[in-house]
Amino acid sequence: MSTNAPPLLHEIATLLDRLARTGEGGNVQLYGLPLQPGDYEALQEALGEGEISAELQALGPTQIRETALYGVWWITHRNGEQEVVDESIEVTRCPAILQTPAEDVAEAALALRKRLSVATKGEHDG
Amino acid sequence: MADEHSLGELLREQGISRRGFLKFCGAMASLMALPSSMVPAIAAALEKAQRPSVIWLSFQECTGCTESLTRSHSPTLESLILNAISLDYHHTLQAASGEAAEAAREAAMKQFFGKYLLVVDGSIPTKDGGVYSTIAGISNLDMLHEAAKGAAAIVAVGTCAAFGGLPHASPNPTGAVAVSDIIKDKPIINVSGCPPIPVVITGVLAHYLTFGTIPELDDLGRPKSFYGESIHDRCYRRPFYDQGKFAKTFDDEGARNGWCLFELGCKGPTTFNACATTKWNQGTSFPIESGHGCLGCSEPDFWDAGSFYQALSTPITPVGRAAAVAAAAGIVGGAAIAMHNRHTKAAAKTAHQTVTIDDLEKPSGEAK
Repeated sequence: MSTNAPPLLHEIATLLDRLARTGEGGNVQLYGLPLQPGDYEALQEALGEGEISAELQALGPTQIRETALYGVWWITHRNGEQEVVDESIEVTRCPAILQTPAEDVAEAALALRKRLSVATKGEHDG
Repeated sequence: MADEHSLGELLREQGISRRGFLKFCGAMASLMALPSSMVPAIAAALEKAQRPSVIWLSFQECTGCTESLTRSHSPTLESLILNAISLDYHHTLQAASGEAAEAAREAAMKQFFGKYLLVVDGSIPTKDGGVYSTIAGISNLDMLHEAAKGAAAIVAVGTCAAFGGLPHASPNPTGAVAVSDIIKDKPIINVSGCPPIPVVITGVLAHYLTFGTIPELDDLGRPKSFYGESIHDRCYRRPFYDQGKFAKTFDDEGARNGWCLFELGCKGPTTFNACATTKWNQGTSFPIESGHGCLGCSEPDFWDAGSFYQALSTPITPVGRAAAVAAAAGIVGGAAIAMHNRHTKAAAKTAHQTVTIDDLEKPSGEAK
């Protein structure tokens, strides 16, 4: 196996233990690590493909994939030019970037009510 | 001109969602080498951050630093950071020229006195009253003194502004010096490199935006988050060094196998920068990955530090033994060798060796 992948896998195993025990996971920043040729592929092979894959479109695409190991997510952020700007392995039950921000929920409720009032007003006017 | 809009408001006006903002903050955190647990704090600070006024002065330079910063296409982190500041004067980038440009600089200096960030690229010639480089009839020396008075902090971008760089190289005909040789009463952040990595320039600006303070600096005034480790210690070829596997020429079996370039003059062990991890040209590679040793461009006097193609030093112990010690001691061993090599570099500087095309063609042992 490659040189730098095994220590990272041990770190992920430790984070998984902690997540199971305390509910708090953690992450491994891949961006900026001095990976050797083959390390990246070795990590991908060891973690495998899971059941969930999502794509976020904000400032370029972000791929959020759960690996074959439940609770281990591989997240790749790209910019509009498709260049990787950040990449990490997150050990969590659900990555924060997938969850809807509370402010957006509040704004969505306001937006829906506004649409409803416009529709109701339209019915009355009609 | 700087305005009252916060960065969060500005980004949302540009159609960037809160998830996009979180993504931006996460990338900023890894850029500043901060743990991801700090992302919510960064997001909260950046959401409220006001656009700071930035005055950028280009002195005795080649415009390579500005090229580095602007050689990226939107939407990138660099362009977002540039949108997040109010660049009130940059004579290469601004539309205004002549008296209108200088008037913009003077107006920003007056309106934001004590608050603006001063960015300088290029060294400052001091010989003969600083006559060798002037802007609008004002010497670089006088303009720096004047602009520094009202600056909250100064960012010396590039090795010329940070350490004197190429203009400072022997025999230094213009008496070129670094910003820190002239200004003694302001915080100065040295962002060295010839040129510096674009995200390192913007990372420093991002830190200032986020925390309103300057980042932690090393003994040469450089941000530790980017210059904290040597190229050698973060190099993907480092395991070959530890195993004693070196390329002896640029076309031998070792070179083809991607072995360590130490014996071909790589300055990675004495050079502190983020090239090995951040890389260049949209993350494509960095010099060592392209098969050439590091020139040490982010270090003081790199141009006068001996041949680019001569090994820094011969390890005191035979290579095999030194490699075993280095492997056992890991990063500590590397740091010790780096310290030793810094002394060697200083000695080489006093001897001032020049490089000829012959150096490239000789085996490293014969290079002068």
